[in-house]
Amino acid sequence: MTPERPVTFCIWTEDGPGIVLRLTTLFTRRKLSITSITASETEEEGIGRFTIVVGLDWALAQKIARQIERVVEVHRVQVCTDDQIVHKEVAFFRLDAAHAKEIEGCVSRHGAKIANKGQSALIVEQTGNSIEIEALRRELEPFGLQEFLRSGRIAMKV
Amino acid sequence: MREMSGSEILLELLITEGVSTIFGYPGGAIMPVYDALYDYQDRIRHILVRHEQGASHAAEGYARISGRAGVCLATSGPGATNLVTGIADAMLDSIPIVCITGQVAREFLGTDAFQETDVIGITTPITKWNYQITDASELAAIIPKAFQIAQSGRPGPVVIDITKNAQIQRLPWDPNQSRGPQRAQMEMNYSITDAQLDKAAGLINSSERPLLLIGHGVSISGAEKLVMEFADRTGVPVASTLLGLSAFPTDHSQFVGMLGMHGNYGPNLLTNRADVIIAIGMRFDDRVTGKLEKYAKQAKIVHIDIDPAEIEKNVPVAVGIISDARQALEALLPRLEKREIPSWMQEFQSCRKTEVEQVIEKALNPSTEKIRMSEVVHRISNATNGEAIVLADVGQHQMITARYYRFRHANSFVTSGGLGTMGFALPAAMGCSVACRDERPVLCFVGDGGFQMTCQELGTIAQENMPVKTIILNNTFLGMVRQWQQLFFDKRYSFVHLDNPDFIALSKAFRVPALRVSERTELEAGIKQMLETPGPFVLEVCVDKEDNVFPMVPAGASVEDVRLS
Repeated sequence: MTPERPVTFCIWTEDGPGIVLRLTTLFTRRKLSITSITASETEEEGIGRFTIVVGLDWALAQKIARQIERVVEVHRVQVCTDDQIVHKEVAFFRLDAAHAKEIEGCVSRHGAKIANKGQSALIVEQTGNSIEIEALRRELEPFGLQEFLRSGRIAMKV
Repeated sequence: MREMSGSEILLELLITEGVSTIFGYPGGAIMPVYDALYDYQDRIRHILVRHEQGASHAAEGYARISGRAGVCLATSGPGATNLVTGIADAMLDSIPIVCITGQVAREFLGTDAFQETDVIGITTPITKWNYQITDASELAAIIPKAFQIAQSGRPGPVVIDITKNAQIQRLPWDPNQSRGPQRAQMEMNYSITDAQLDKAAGLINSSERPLLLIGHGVSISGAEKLVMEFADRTGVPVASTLLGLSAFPTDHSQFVGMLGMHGNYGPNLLTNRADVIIAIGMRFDDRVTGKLEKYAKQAKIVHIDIDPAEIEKNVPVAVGIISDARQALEALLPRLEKREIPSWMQEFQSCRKTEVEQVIEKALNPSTEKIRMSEVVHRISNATNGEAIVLADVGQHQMITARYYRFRHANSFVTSGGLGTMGFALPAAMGCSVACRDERPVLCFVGDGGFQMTCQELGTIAQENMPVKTIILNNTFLGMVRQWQQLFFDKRYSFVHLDNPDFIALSKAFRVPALRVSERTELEAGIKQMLETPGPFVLEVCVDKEDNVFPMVPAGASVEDVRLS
C-alpha cells in the first residue's frame, strides 16, 4: 500500500444544485476525509470548478477520478500532486493586540499583512501555500492565537 | 396550444418517452398527478402495488425484460423512502428506472413539513442522477433528460422529485413541442483503436488456455449472437456471472458454467490456469473473484466494458476497451482466427465430471427423504423447456436456480445480484409479466424468508390477474445464513429459524390459487397443475431443512480453493 499524500482533484462541472453532495460522497463512502474543498466559477459561463484536497494513495485517487467522471454534470477531472500545480490559500489569524509590535515584525518577515487592527485584537492575513501558512502559524502561536481560519486550497495545473 | 397542468405535462412527456405502464402508489403530495392520470387511463396503464418497494422492483423487472426504463410513482416522505431499496438495487445491477416522487410544495421545503423528506439528499449516492422540479416549466427539459440518462451508457436509476405546486401549476403547452422518444440505448459510437484491437486479438489468437467471462453487459447490449460467434470462432470455454446467465445457452457444448462463490467447479478452479481471460460486460465483483490477491494473477486480461470506471478498478488489465459490448465484438471478430482447443476444453469437462459425481447427480436425482431445492428447479426447467422467464429471490434457492435451470432463451434470468435484495423477486415478476405481454411463462422462485418481505404484492398480482407462477421453496430457515452458521460459526443458529404462516391459506386469502407439495411423489403433478392453471399460482414445496449449496468459494478464499463439500 503506497503511502498517503495530499492529492488535489480539479473538477470542472456544470452549475447546478446537489453537485457538492454527489462529489463528496464519492470520498466519504470510502471513509476518506476531505482536507479542503472550494468552489469557483470559471472563465466559461455555466461551468464551475471544484478543488478538492484529500490525503490518499495515488492508485486509489485514479480509481476515484474515474468515478467522479461518471457524474453526469462533471466535464473534466485532473488529479494532481503538489509538484504539478500552483496552489494557494488565504489564512486569517486573530491575536491579542498586546503583542502588536512583535506580531508586526513577524508578519513582515513572512510577507503577510495586518488586515485589521483594533483596540484589543488584530487580524493577520496571509496568502500562501500550506507550508508557508504552517510556518507563520508556528511563529504566531506563542503570542496567543485566539482564532485561526484557512480558506482551503485553490490550484491550477502548471 | 392550450393550458395544461404540470401533472398533465408530465404524463404527456412520459407518453412521448414510450412509457406505457407505471407502477405506483398514491399519496398526498402526488395527488395532482393521480388526478391527471384518471383521464389518461386509456393511454397509460397504472398498476397499483401494495408497497412502494414493490413498485420500484416491478419497474426493475419491467426494464430487464423490455430493455427500456421502468417507471415507478410514489408520494413524498415514506412513499419516497420506501423506494430506496429498489433504487439502490437498480444502481448496483445497472437497471434503467425512472422514479417519480411527489414532494411538498416549494414553500414548505426544509421546514420538516408533513411527509417531507430530503429525497434528493437520500438518493444521491444511489442514483445515476436526480433532480428536484419546483416549477412546471422545468418538466420539458428534465423528463427527457431523466430517461436519456437512465437508459444510456451504463444504465441506472434516476429520481425526479416534483413539488406539489409544480404539479398544479398551469402552463401553455404545445403537444408537438416535446422531443422524440429517446431510444433504449443511446447509440454512442465508442472509439476503439486499432492498437487495442490488434493487441486483444493477438492475445486471444496466441493463447493456449483462454477463458471468456460474460456478464450483464452482454444482455444489456444485445450482444448474445456476437458472443456465440466469438465462441464458435475461437473455441473458447464460456463462463458467466450470475447476471450474465442466459446470455449464452446453458446447454451449449462450450458453456462451462457460472462463476463465483456458488458457481461451477471448473470455471472457478481453472480461472487460475487460464493464460488469457476475455471479460465482456462484467465487473470482477468480489463474489466472482474471491481473494483478489490470488485471482488470475497469471492471466493477461482483455476487459471490455462500457464504464471506464470499471476498467482496472479491481483487476489489472493487458487491454482495456471502453465500449458497448456489441460494438467491441463487431470490431474484434474479424481479427480472430478460427481454432479449437480440445485439450483445454477437456480440463473443464473433467472438472464437470467431478462436479457431477460429487454434487450435481445427487442434486438432480436425490435419494434423500425430503425434497431438495435442486430437483424442483430441475423438473420445472424440463417442464418449461428452458424457455421461461425465471426470477429468483435471494439466498440458497437463488444459487440453486442459477445452477440448475437450463436457459435456452436469451434475457431469461432476473435476480438481484449486486445488492442481493430479499423480497425482490415477487414484485419484479410483476414487471416481467407486463413487459413480456404473456408471451412467455414467468416463474418466480422464492424462499420462505424473502417471500414474506414482499408477499403483499400477491394482492397486485391477483387484482391485475398476472399469470406469475410463484414457487416457494420452504425450508423454514434463512438458508444461506444457516449454511454459513453451520460451516463457519459452529452451527450456532442465531435467529435463522422461521415460524412460517400457512402459505396456502395466505395465497388463497389474496385469491391466488395455491398448492402445497411435501412428498417427491407429488412434485410432478404439482408442477403440472401450476403451469396449466391460467393466471397466477403459488406452489409451495416443503424442502429439506438443512440442505447446503455446493460448490462454494468461502469468503476471503481464492477461487482455486473452491470446495465441493
